[in-house]
Amino acid sequence: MTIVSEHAELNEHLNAYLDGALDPAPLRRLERHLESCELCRADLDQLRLTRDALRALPALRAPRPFTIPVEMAPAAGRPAPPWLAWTWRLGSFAAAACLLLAVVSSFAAAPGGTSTALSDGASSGAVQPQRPAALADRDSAQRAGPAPRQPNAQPEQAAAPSAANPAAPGSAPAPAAGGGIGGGSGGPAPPPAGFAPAGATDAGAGAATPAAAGPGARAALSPDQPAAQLAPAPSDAQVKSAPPPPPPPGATPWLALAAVLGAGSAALFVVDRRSRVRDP
Amino acid sequence: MSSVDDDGPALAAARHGDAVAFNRLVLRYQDAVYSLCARLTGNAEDAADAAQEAFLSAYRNLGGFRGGSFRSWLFRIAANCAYDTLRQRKRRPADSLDRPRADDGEGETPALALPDPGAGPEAATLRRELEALIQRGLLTLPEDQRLAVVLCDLFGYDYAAIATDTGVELGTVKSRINRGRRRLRDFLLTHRELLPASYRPTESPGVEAGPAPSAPP
Repeated sequence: MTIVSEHAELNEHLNAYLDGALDPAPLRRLERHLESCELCRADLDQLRLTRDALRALPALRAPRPFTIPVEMAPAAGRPAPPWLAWTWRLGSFAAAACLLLAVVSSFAAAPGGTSTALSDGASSGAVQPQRPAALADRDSAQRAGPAPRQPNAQPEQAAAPSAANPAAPGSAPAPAAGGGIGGGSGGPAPPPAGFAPAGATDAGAGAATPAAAGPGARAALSPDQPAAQLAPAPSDAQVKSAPPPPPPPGATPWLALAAVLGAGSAALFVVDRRSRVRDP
Repeated sequence: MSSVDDDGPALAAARHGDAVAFNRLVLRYQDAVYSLCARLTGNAEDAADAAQEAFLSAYRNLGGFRGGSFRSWLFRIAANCAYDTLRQRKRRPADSLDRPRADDGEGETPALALPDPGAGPEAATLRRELEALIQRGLLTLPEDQRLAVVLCDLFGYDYAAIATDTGVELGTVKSRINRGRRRLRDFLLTHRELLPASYRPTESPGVEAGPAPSAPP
C-alpha cells in the first residue's frame, strides 16, 4: 500500500476515531499515521471542533405537551377483547336457533294452534339476525308476566318507554340497549336511552348478569304457571291487544333457553359496544 | 434516557389501548422527540407538527411495535415525520429555528433552548449565533447524514444505537457520520467569520478542507 492510498484510507477513519468507534487494528495504524501526517492532524482538529460545535447545540424543550387526546382511547381504557364480539354474536345466533326450535316443537305439540305469535317472533329473528337478542327478550318478557313486579322495577320503568315494544317492561334494560343500538330500529329511542339513564353502570351490570333474565326464564320454565298470570301487568299501550296464549309445553324449554341466551347476548353486546365508543 | 424496562409497564398498558399510559410515554419522550424533529427540520413550527404527528402515529401503530427499544422505534417514526413535514412545507431555510430568536432576542419563541444559568449575556449571544449557524449547516446535509450526525453528536448515541435507530448497517452509519460531519465542517469553514473564536477551525495545512486526497509531502 502506497503512502498516498494509506493516507486516504486512514483519513476516512478520523471521525470514527473521534467517536471511539474504530476497531483496534485500524486504530493502531491511524495513531501511528497521525504522528507523521500533519494533514490528518489538522483534519482531526477541524472535525473535532465541528463535533464540539454540534455538541454545543442545546437540547430543546417541547413547546407544548404532545399528549394524545384520551378520547382516542376506548372509554373503559381498554378495547373490547375480540372474543366478546364473537360471544354475543354466537349467543344471538343460538337464541335465534332456540326460537326456531321452539316454533318447530310448538308445531309438533299443537299444530295449527297458537303458533302465530311464535312464528312471528321466530321469523323476524331469522330475517334480522342482528336483532334476535332483543326479540328473544321481548318474547320472553311477553311470557313472563310476573317479571315487572321484581324489586328493581324502577330503572326498568325508566327505560321501558324507549324500548321498541312498550309491552315488555320486564326485560327493559337489555332489550332497550340491544334494540336501540344493535337493531338500528330504535327509532323512538333517543341514543342515551340505550344506555339506561337510571345509572348506566347499574343497569348495564344488571343486564350483564344472566340473572337478569332469571325471572323471565323461571316463569317460562315453570310449566304449571297459570295462564292468567301471563297477562302483562302494566296497562301501557300494547302492541298486541290480547295477551299471547301460553306456549305449548314442548316449546317452553327452548323459549327459556332463547331468553337466557338472548339476554346474555344483549348484555355482552352492550358491554362490547360501550368499549368501542372510540368511533364517533 | 429511559431503559426498555422503564417503558415496559406503560408500554404494555398502552398497547392494550390505554391512552393515559401512552401519554406517560409521551411526556417522557416529548422533549427528545421534539428536539430531534427540530434539528432535522430546523423549524420550530414544523418540529412541533412533526412531533405531534409522530406520537399520534406511534399510538395508532403500537400494534406494529415488535419489541426492543421503544425510544428507537419512536425516533424512527419521528424522523420520518420530520422529513415528511419538511417535504410538505418546502420552507426556505431562512425560516429557521433560530430566526425568531435572532429577531427579538427574547426567549418566548417555541424553539427556546433550555436555560443556561451559568452563561452571561455575551456568552448567550455567542451561543445563539453558533447554534443558528450550525443549524443552518445541518440543513445542508442530505437527510440520511443529517439524522446520523444529529443522533451521534446531539443525542450522544453510539454507532450501534444509531444503526438500530435508523435500521442500517454499522458501516453505513460510520460512513454517514463521516461524510456528514465533513460536509458540516466545510460549511463552517466557509462561514468562519460567523463562528466564535473558540469554535473557529484553523485553515492551516488542510486548506482545501475536503477529504484531503492530496499527497503528504
